[in-house]
Amino acid sequence: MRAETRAVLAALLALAVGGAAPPGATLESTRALLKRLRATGRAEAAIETTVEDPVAGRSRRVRGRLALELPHRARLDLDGGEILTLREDGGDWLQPGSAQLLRSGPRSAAPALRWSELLLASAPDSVHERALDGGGFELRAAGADSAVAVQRVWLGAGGYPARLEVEDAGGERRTWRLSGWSFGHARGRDAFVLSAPRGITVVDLP
Amino acid sequence: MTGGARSGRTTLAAVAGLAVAAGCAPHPAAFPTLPVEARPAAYRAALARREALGRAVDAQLTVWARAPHVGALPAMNASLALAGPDAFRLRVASTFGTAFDCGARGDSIVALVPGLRLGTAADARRDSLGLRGPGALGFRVFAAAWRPPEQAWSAARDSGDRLTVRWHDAGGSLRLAIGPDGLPADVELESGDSLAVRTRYRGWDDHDGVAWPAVIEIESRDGELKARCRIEGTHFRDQPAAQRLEVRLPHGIEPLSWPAFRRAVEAASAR
Repeated sequence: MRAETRAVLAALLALAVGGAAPPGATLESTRALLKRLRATGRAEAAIETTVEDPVAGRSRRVRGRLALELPHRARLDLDGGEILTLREDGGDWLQPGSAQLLRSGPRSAAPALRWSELLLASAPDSVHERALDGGGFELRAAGADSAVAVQRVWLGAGGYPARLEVEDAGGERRTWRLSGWSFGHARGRDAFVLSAPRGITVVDLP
Repeated sequence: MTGGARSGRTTLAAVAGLAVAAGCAPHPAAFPTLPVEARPAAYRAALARREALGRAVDAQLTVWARAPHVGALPAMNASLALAGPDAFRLRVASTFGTAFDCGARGDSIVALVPGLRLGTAADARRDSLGLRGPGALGFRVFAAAWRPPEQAWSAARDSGDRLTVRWHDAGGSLRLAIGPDGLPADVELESGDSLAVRTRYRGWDDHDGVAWPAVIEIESRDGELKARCRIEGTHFRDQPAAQRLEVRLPHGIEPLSWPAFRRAVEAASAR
């Protein structure tokens, strides 16, 4: 259950990378977002995807809000109360439906952070960015062991990501639509640490 | 919910939807205690209704499991489809993707762990699965569709609140304990030295008079593997949809033999 979750968070985090990187090292697909993020400290966007259930033959639309802060912090608040965070030292996943809060440490976070580290450290040498038709970019990490196989980003107004397609290691694709980007002051690490509401069981992962 | 206040029309629609859903929802059931002599007939009648409905079912599961090498796992959500008498599919997934997908029909089984890029396509007649007819076994477990042969009833033993029936079939040796309500309470299956599984039915829903499992506990004989399944959102359909039951291995994932797949998953879980 952790691998596919890391895949999505890794892709979302990849949008937020570059805080410590020299400006010249950033990729075209994240250039505008990073510029504003560095200047302000925090980026937020509305996010939406459609989750298919091939077994039940149904699909459901999932909406939420994405927050990004440098250097490696992401938070996804979904309608219905599900919340996912990722930080340098781990991450949390609140699942009201299962009445549990998963807390993962650095070991679980490491593969997700690998994408951002690659981009931070030596981009574009370690990440292959290829322009796609329609203003999109395909990103592949050379030799990465991340659960993310490929991600594709299409830019919208202002050059900010408007569509993110994540293909996990098993070939499953999920498209996330991002809109209404806004920027503000960073809230810091505490805004990316979840506490368990009453009745929620905390499960610690490595 | 984000996105501002709902309109009055939306609120009315939501309230109406909830009302309809509540009216259609199954009710947790406590079925009446039956005299011992009435239990075999009641069991067979209820079984026949479950077998008929079980030809096309889908449901949502929450699973709490404990596995060898890793201990207790976090709760998982899964989708289940049944196509009785011998097919099922179980897909563990979240908002963010699929963790495990397994489908079986008759002796064939296909399983996939996308995050590990591991998959298998096996056949119980050809490969060393350790059990016969995985498709029928899965259906029996989730539909509580355990059907003793007629001759087994004559040797049934009454032990207070349980009526116990034993028999052998191609799948192995079975011991079925029927509760005071005439429903299966506890089933033990042994197949040679390789498989020994106990299934307990801890709760039932009443779907228009038909008892359908709501809480199932599955445990291996050595106690290393345990799973508690809460079943909700059960839908009975007119016809099974074959494509919903089919698990396909993605391009680039070469199917492993069943033993190799099992070893690889266990090794990855232990890391």
